[in-house]
Amino acid sequence: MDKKQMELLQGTLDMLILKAVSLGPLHGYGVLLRIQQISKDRLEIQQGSLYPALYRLEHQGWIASEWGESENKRKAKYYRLTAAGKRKLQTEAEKWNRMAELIEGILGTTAEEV
Amino acid sequence: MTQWRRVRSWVRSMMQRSRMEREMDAELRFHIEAFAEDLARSGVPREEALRRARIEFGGVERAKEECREARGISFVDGLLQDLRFGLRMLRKNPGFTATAVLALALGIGANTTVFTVFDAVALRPRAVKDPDRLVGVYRTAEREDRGAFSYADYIYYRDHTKALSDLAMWGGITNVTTSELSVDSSENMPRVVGALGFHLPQLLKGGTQRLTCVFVSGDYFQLLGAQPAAGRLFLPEDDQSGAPPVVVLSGNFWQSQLHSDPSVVGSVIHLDRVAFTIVGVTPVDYLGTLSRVPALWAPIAARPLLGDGTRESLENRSVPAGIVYGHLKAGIALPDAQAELKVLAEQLRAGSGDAQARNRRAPFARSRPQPAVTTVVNRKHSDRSFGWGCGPSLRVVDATSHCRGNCFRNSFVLGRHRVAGYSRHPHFRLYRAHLLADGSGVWFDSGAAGIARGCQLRAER
Repeated sequence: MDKKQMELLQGTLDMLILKAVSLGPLHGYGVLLRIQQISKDRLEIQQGSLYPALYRLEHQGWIASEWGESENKRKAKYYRLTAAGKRKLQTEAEKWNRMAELIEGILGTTAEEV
Repeated sequence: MTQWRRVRSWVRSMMQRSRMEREMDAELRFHIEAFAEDLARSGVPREEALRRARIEFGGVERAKEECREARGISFVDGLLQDLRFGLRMLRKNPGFTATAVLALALGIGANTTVFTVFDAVALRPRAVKDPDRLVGVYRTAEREDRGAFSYADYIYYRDHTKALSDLAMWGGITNVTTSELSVDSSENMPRVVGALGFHLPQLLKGGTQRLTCVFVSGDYFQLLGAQPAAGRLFLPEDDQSGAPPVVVLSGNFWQSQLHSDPSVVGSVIHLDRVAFTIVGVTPVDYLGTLSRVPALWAPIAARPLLGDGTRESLENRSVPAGIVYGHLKAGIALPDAQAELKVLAEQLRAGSGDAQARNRRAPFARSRPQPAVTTVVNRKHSDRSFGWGCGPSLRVVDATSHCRGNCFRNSFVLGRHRVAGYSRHPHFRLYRAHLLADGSGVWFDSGAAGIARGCQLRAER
């Protein structure tokens, strides 16, 4: 870990979980690994906060769960994206991009442009 | 759709509480162990790996609690905890508990009775013939919008009007006594006793019984389209001076005192020691234009027989006798009826002789009495004015009244350039006057009335 880990922005964990399970069903620990892998270990995720987020997303119907067998032959709960979750992820991603663009634009403004 | 899923997930979590706890446990354990295995693979000793995995994960119990919260279960848990705490505290302070329970009981009881009387007076749908054409006819004077007519005046208008049909009069209530019925429960004291839920030893056995008797004109039931439960209701012939005295029983009285015995029709009952023939029975709970079910109905012409005025007072145009209702004939508009009655009033004044006319005005207001016709105008409108009068706490009633259909209740009076809220119901009119005048008074009044009515209802049951 050469680069310093960044803390997750408030409210972005849900989106990242949706993205992670959109690539294929995962158990909770797998979600954590997938996010760390994609972010190249630059994101710091509180492991304890992962499960409440998963439960919340399942409660809202964006992900669904079922018990399956893990790689090392143990019982694990796997989460997958539902159709509603897919739509949610799409709108959230769009919203995020718009916001990022906006913030970038504001931060990039120079004195002459005002 | 997601709403439905949320509900389902909540219900599942609630119903299969222990299963969810087990699964949550297994899931978190799997996470920590899988993490520890990964650490062990990178060379950390097994014991140490497990310890570190636990530390990295953070508080397991806290995570579980947050998971429950995410499912909306902890809300119920908290509620149960609060409930248990509340019960403990109540047990600790019996004095407070008793006071609170008493206050609640009184509050709920008073509200129930108020609503009961309100329902009986204003909401109970009344089956009335042609409710859209039903009107009230009132004497108006300078300071009196809705005066009562004398019986003689009523007869005159009834016989001469061409705009209205079935002109009928409600002529007041009186108490009569009879000593003939085996007294199961007399009307006064035992009512209160009945409301308390037990019966005192019968004190009045063999004694006289007081009954409420309502006077109506011979065509009153015809106007309202009432059907008898037994026998027949009044005919115009019954309401003639000198006609044989007849009486109609209310269904409630018939049921409670005479065990719905159909053979009483045609028999004689002595009221104030005058023999009346029972000609028929109204249906149970039949109210006519009243707010409470009387025991008996008698023709107005029989009033002198029951000590309520004399035969002369019925003929005296200065003695108010009752409220008049009628049906607008087909094709007749309200103003036409109004105009016709105005002409009749002039004729009556001109023809009845000066002395009597002056005489008749005396007990009333100073100006010339004049009939006014009233009718239901716009139900929606009247409901709104009603809501305004009663304040938001009665909106429930307002909403309900919309679904009660063609119900016979509040309406508008169109008398002499003014529009005022009123009900064709004489008692209810009093209510409305209060409602508009003083809110707090209403609650007191209706509360008192409600309690009285509640006692009555309980006793009737």
